[in-house]
Amino acid sequence: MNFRQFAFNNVKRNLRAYSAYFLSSAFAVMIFFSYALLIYHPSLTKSELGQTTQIMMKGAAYIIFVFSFLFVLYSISAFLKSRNKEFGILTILGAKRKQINRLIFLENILIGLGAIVTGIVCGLACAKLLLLYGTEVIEVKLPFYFPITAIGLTVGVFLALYLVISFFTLFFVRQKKALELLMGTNKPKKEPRAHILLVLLSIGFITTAFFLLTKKINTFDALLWPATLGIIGMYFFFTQLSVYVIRVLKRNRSFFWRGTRMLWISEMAYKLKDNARMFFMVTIVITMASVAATFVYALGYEARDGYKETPLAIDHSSNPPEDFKTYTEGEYKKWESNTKKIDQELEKAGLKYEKTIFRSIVPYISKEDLNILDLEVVKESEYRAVATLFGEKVPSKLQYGEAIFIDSKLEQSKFKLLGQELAQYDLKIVQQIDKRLNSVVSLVVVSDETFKRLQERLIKKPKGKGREHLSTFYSIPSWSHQGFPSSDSKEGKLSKKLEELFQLDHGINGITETRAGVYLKIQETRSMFSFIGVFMVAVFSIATASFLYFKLYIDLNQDQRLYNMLSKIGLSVLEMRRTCTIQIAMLFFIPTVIAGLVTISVMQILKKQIADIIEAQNMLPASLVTIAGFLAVQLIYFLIVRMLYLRQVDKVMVESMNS
Amino acid sequence: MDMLKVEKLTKVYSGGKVTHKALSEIDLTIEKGEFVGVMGPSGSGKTTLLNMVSTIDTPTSGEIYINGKKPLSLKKNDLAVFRRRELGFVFQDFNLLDTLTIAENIVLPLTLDTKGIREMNQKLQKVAEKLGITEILKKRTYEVSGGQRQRAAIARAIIHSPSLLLADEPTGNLDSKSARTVMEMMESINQEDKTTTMLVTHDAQAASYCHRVVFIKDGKLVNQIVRGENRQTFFQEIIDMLSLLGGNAHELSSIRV
Repeated sequence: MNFRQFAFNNVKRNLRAYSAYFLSSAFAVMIFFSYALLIYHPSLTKSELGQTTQIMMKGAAYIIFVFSFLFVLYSISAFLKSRNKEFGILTILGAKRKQINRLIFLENILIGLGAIVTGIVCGLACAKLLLLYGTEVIEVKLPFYFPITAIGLTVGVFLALYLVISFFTLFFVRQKKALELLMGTNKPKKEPRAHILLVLLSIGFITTAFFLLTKKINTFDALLWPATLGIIGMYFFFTQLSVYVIRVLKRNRSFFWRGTRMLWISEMAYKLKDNARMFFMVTIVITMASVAATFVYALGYEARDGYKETPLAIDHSSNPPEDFKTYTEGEYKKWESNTKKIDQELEKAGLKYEKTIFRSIVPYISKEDLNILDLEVVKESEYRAVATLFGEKVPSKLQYGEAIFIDSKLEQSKFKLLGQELAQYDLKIVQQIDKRLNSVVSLVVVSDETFKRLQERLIKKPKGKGREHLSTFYSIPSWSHQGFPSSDSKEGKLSKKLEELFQLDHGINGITETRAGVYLKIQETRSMFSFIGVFMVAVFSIATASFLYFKLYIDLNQDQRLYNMLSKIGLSVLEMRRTCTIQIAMLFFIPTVIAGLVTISVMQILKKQIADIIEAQNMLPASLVTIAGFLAVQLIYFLIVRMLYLRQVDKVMVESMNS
Repeated sequence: MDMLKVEKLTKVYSGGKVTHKALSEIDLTIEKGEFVGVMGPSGSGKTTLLNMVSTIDTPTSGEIYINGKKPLSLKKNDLAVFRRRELGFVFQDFNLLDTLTIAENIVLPLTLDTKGIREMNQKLQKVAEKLGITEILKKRTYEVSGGQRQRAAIARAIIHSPSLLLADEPTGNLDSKSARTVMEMMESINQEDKTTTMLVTHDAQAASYCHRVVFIKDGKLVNQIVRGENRQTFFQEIIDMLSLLGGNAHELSSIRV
């Protein structure tokens, strides 16, 4: 038996011990490979939608790669710890450090190669399913292909990873003495300690992070600070504060010295410290996934709300350059003839419609904080034609200087700003209607007289702070149905065609926006996000669950000894099950619950900042649904892991040994 | 009154084709307040007997009475409670929990029974004083010596005043000085509290603290000797009996006087 054979036999004959490490490695490879398989899909590289997806998928691939790296690194450190005794025996038998290093290195490469092959084979086996799902979601046909590039990339990347990790692992065993190794996992554990300073630091960091979030965030960097502080704070939260809390619990004897509490709390203190880093990682990962999923989910609400709240099916509006002032009669005629093209399309489809042309004023907004996308001042006489569509009564005749504001998205704080802005033009808001014409326009309705004066002041004057704007609205009664259009419905198809009729350019031609088109576009983005999101969430949640299972698996022998002894001195099976269940439940649910709380708080704080994209009221339900989903998934894993674990511990209980 | 009564206890291990009779028709009675040692060479069945009495193994036939109760007829979940209340265990390798302090380890049987905190504290102080471990109550298991650990384990075994204290090679992992202290403690507990004790051991020195030693060989009770006035003479008698039984020389501990 030469050394290489020894290493090989070690792996071959001790498969059970290596299996957890091997399986988690293979899993990481499989995920990465599936990803590469999608990214390099020939039909995805061609289509335009595919390109955006690809960029996002590439970003996701980096995250997955970093995650696999940490995953494999964690697995191997746990795995090596469980083999300390073996290394101790080898040392005593006279193995040199160099030889042990070589043994670990060879084993790692062996397991790595095995994991790469297994991962790719499993990935290939699931490829068809994945591609089918992809086709369904992103509406690009993805036939099966043989992914040479993906295989090459996966093999290359993971070979490199295992080489690096093999070198890394040498540090894990290096410093230990033979005696320490021999004592191995039997060595009594030190009581965990927490420093009050670090505890305060943790609280300080988390508070600061939340405080920073309430400030205005307009750049990515502004988000980076609270995120970094929050992550560091979270790390100390788990490594310090948790131990501290448990120590306080322990001090209270009448609480601590009761039933099985003493057992699981003291065990928990160790597991908390041991697992603090893992807890931390799992929490961060779940938080990120939840925040992303919340966005995706809220986007869906947004699309549906937008569709429901838009009474007009088609909007064709001009898109003049910045320094544009006013239209000549000739240009107006051209505009009218342009809209005829839309009329023709609608007539061809046999649809009845009503058309309104708005010739409005867009005043320049001086207050930066007031980020209304499009504020248009319209004449009362023109507005009356569409007012009935809102289901509102036509307002009584407006007095000079009075204005009605129509928008459903403006917050109370900004409403004040708007009032100040309009006061510059001697306008006063007398009524607000909580509706919208389309996704971007906010209307200010004034009497015809007032409109004329504004025209003089804002447009006719050479330095007037405004420009003229043309838009044509179509209301199509037969499209005002319940429910939402699909991309291959008549409404969806025609809407898309109309949007393509006028290319996006400046000037008189204008652009067409349709209610169904906007809805479908948001839905497309959303399904793309959710495709990646579902993939990521699945990966992360499976990975965290296997992390936790791995942890329990490593501790199993020790726990079995413990429960066997406790069983002898009179711990019943029921009490054992209760103690174990509490401990496993904490492992699974503490990170999820904390991640949930963080997600909800972050979203609640952020909702004002992103009110332009997603309405505030949609945020909380979206967060809650996301967290509930995560909890449900964790619950399933918890039940499985608990069953597997209890089956192992049951074996060593005195009661079951007899039967 | 009999605290432990074992009647015609037989245990047959049948692993596949080979059956092995570990105990055959053992009768043993231990009276209240008695301190009885069980000795015998390796494989004689002492540990099997102890496991049956501890209710952590079930006999093939025969009956066991502990304090007048029949543990064999109890249901599984009641058995754990029975062990917790009626029995006290001392193991060779202490079996203290590393995650708990010495004090917490000692009160464990009481906390499992959800006793009041004042009662637990009182009993803890009492047993700790008795065993001379008051100083180390706040320490962790790995911060104290083997002898102290075993004394803590004994404290845990008697804190709930069990009907029967069962000790399995309690001196097996200790040096001779610690072993003597531990045995003296067990002797004084037996004398002062009248705790009925059954001690299984290889160690003739340890066995010499008993009132009576029974000898087992090949699953059968072969003899017993009762202690007279002098422990030293008793020790010599035990050694003689062991060599008569033909246990291998290396199984006898060296003489430490």
